[in-house]
Amino acid sequence: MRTLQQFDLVDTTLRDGEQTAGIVFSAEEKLNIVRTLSDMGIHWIEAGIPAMGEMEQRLLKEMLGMKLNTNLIAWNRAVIEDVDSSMRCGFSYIHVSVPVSDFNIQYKLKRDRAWVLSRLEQTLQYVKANGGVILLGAEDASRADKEFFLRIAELGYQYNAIRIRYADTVGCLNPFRAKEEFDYLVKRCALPIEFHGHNDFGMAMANSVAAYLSGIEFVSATSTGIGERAGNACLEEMVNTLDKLYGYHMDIQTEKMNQLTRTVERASGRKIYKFKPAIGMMA
Amino acid sequence: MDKCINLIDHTINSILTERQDAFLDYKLFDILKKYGVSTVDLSVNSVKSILRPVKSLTIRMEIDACRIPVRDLEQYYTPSINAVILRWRNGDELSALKECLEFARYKMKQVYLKIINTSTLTHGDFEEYGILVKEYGVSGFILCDIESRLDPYTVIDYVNFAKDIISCKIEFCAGNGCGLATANSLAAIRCGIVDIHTVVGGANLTEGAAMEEIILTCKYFQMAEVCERTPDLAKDSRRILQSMQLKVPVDKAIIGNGIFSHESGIHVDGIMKNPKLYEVISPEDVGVKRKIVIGKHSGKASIRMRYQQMGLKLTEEEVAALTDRIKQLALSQNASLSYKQLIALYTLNVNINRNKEVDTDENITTI
Repeated sequence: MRTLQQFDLVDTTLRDGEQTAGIVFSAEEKLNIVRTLSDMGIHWIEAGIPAMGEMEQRLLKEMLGMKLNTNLIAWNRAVIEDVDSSMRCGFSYIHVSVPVSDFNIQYKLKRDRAWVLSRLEQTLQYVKANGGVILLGAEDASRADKEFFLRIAELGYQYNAIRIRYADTVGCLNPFRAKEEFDYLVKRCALPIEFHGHNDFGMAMANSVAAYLSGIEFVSATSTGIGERAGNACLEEMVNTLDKLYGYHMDIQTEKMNQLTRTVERASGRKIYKFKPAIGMMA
Repeated sequence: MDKCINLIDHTINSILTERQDAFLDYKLFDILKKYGVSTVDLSVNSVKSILRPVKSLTIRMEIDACRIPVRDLEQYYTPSINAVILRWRNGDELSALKECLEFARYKMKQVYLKIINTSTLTHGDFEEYGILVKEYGVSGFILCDIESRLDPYTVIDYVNFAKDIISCKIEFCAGNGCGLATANSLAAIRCGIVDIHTVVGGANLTEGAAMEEIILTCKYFQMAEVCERTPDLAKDSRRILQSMQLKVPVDKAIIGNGIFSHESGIHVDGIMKNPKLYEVISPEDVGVKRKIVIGKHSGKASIRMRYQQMGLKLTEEEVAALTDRIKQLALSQNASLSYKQLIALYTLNVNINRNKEVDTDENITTI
């Protein structure tokens, strides 16, 4: 059985969850969600994207002033201006994300790997010089060359990054390939890894389980599983499954978690499916 | 792909359990057949609703071998039933099961044995069941995990054990209490199991993986063939679930109405460059439309494109002005913008200078 020192969850309800098409949380709802997450015992919360504008920045500053018992993370592209917005809000934990698959680099950025490395390095230099703690994000890692992922991690290591996110951005992993890939990466990666799974094939939970079993140290999730397209790995389901199958018991306050589920259900306007594991009416 | 998967359905049973009004639309069987369903499993209560045989589908009646006295077995049996499943909890006194098997093999056409708590099976248990399977001529052995205690890796162990010892056909029936039913079923398929229990929309947490997920994952990961064409999968799933008064969640994997909806600037920009950047399957594969949602996270490119779809070309300044207003409105109403709201914003902020005729009827918002 693993302990909290070896494995922990990262909540991204307020960032990837709210990024879902059609979902908008009000300021009050966001403050309520972050408070509940903190009270229930979540140690890492991706709070939002300061680069989205002044309104978002004002709210994030308010969050940072709430004296929560958790670590708040700001999500950024590898763009100095984005990072600046986060730093100005007062964030210490700066997530810097870059696409790492050749497919993304070629079709989305219309650049090459050298450009990605150079752009990332400039951004990391900037974060480090300004006293930020770096969390790296590797978008579309499940369709990327593993060696390039490791190269990105090495670069992060040089700038004291504390972990690297392996994002299954389009949810195309299956638990068999995931396990093989994670076993390989865990042994070689310069940084602790965080797995971030999407549910396009209904396997976000299974891939998160693969991550847990491979010794990956962090997994990200959203309350009720909201997220782009078919959503992300569901936080409540993760807490339930890891406890039930592997005896990994997070120090989560169940009552607070139920409160979070109801709050996110109401705020997202998405009624929880009757047959949703862990939180549906039939569970 | 040389493997061809037979789906064993639990949806009809869920519908009959849910509705309890004994009415069943027989067209649902035809829909299920389209997707590779060969067999429908029903409880003793549900089986009463099947008043006539269903062409080219096997109907199996599942009976709790611990609870139903053996002498009562026959009273549930109707001509529409092709086989009986004896549902058994490993650990219970085996003499009761032997009694059932003894009776069933003389009275029933085919007898299947279903172990509902597979995760408790030891090597010794497998050997005991292996002997019973041979002795009583059991047609199939169903590894079932109603309590959701298995993960994909333990499934591989159990299936391989079963394959070594059990001489008849082996089926796999996953539970979804831990959200692993699809992955666990794929594990069984990887081990060579071709008879997989499913339920449309995952509308049962104890028996069956979501049918649509099994079909698409088998296809995408080239693990096996289930059915050739799925362009009506979302529509058909909606229809089936409506029979249970269930609405498909917008984000339900494979069949949800919103799984090809994009709002954030980064994603919409990516989709415009190449849809595969953010979509692992194509909308037309499952019959769901791609949509651009305009709201708080929309970037200038998506706003420009959305108006272009509406037949309205905007200048850079107009896009910038509308972007701010759209974000403000989305935040104030806590929701994305409707077509009418987009038209209203255009009319108030742009058209006031242009006086262009605007079509106020909503078009299909796809790209």
